[in-house]
Amino acid sequence: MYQYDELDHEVVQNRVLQFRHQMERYLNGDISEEAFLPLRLQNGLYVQKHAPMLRVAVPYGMLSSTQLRMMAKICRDYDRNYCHITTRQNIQFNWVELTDVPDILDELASAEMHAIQTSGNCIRNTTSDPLAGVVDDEVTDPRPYCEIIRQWSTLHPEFAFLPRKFKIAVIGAEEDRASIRLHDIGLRLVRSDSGELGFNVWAGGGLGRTPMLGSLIREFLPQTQLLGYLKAILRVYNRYGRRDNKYKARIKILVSSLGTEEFTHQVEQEFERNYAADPQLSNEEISYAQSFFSAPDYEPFEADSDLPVPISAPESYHRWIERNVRPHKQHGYRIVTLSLKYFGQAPGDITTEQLESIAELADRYSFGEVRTTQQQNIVLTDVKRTDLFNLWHEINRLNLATPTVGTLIDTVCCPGGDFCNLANARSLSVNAAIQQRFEDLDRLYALGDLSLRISGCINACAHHHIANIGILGVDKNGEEFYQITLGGQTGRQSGIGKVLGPSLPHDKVAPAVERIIEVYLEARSSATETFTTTYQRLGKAPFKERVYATGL
Amino acid sequence: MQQVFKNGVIQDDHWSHLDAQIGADFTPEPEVHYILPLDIWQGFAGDFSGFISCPGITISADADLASLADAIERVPLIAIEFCSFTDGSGFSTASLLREDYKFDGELRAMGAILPDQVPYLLRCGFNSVEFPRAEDLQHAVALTGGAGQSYQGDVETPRTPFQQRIAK
Ligand code: SF4
Repeated sequence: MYQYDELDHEVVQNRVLQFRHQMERYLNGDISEEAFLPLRLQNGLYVQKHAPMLRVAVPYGMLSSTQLRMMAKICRDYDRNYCHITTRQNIQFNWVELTDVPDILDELASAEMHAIQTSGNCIRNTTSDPLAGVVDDEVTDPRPYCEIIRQWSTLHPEFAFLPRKFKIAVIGAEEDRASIRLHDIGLRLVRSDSGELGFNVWAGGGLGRTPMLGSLIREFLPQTQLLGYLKAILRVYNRYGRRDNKYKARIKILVSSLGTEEFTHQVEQEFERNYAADPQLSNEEISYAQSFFSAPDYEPFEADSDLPVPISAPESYHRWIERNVRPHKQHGYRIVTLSLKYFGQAPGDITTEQLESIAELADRYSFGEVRTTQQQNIVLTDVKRTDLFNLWHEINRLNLATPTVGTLIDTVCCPGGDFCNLANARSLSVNAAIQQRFEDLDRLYALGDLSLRISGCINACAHHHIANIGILGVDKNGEEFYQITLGGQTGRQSGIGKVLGPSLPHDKVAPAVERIIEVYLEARSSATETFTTTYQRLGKAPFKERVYATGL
Repeated sequence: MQQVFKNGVIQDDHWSHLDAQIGADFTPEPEVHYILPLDIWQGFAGDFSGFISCPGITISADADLASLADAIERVPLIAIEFCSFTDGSGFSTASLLREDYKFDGELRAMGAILPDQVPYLLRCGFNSVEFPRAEDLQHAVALTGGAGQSYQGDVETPRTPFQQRIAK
């Protein structure tokens, strides 16, 4: 993975120092609350319901075991012994003290980490495919490009005060595990007919109040021109994006109001202009970035037949293999998802002890690295298949082996009303109620892959629009209500779910989900027909009818 | 005399804003270098006889530069007025003036700005910043003193992140 050099250290340490001074001036009353707000947000510091929340950047989801141990240390020394993996692969600390934040940032810097631009109206942490580099269906590894974008966007002087937050995602694989079309800019690595590497460029995607899929604005952008093109998009947005209304300030609104064609035209014009003035990425630079992401020292295995299963392996091991373990591009290796969806626990929460144990397991079984995922889980990307059984034993003890990855209860859920200031409603308790109804694993497996996402307000941090079943907390005269959307999807195809009907009170949500599942099970043409296919075939009527029938 | 942060230090400002609407009988004072709001500047239709120097202009942060090409070519100073410190459109406008219009006069930031933004302003091509409060000027100096390395360079010498590092 990427390793800081002198420049990286200097940039991050300067930023920490600067923030320490800003904090001092704020506490002395030299900076007003209003002026401090964008400054602290650019350093990942929110003020939440109970305490300030600090969001730490995990660049494209990669963490070394050293960094995991640092996360554990912060949990123990500054927080309440746990933290939270966000839907954008970052890590949140929910209970830090305001005045401790500069010290925490110092600690982070010592582990080559920071909280720069994890919130605020600026370019956020670049996200990527959590399986980058280890899957078969990849044109090339997207992480070197993510790192280049990370550096380019970090403290970029022109784009620190944008109309609204700005998110970039990059993938190199056929399957989209980063939801690129839901980002302000989505980049997919492709090869041109002549074999040259470059990108499909999508712009104007986003969720929130007006969910939209990004539009393809450039069929092929040569890789050396990446930064100039990003700059052109950002510049058009920074100059012409709306600032009068928070809900109309994302780039998606600019793209849709200008129309894709006109927007593209403006970007291309701007790009042409800076093309001559700005240096391009050189092939040497790209190779240099790539050198940090070379394959680890895999043991050579000739064939990849299935292992004889240990006689002592219980049913739950088989289930775990089926749901939480994926094929790897390297013979003899597997990709293992550690589930953070243990029954009764908030999705994505992880304790000090778990962090430390995962660090150790990563060192022992997966070359000392892990990835965080948009599904709020953690992945060990390079596990020898002969180690699987031992690993399973160990993570079982840590409650990280819940064999439900990709199922209905692998829920993505924001902190909601229990923690977040902006929430209209609680999300964790709704999730708990649904989990309870689907504790029976046989029943869950019969459903196959099914996504459920729960957001506590229209900011849509859990990306509920792209779930097969999405739940959104809304406020109705001061009471918690929930809107259900059906038919969203992400992966090979992206789609935004449609609202099912009037919103429901808290206690009716889990029964409603149950009814939706009933309709699906009754109507699907075979056990392999996905929820979305069934939904598209039937339309929403039968689901709506059942959910709103009496007796809910 | 009003002070301004310019070329890295606090110094007397040799420019004066003329904000009020002016009548037909306006005569410029003999010793004063003026900065005029854009519409007033344009009202002179290019005839600045009577001024000791061509006046500078104030433009809004989101001004349409294409329609101002003539003025940009002529003026010695452009002041970009920020309406809010959270509105960063002026950073792009300044960069464009330097990069594309090759404006090489004084580029000044004014209006709602935080001292903490000054390092960014400078890297986008501004070389002077107005603050009504003296302590903000002091902060600006302090904040630019130790400004270290960056990944992007600045408008004058932009670079890609690894360019210089792999050459080492
Ligand atoms: S979706 Fe709303 S409630 Fe949930 S974390 Fe985001 S802002 Fe908070």
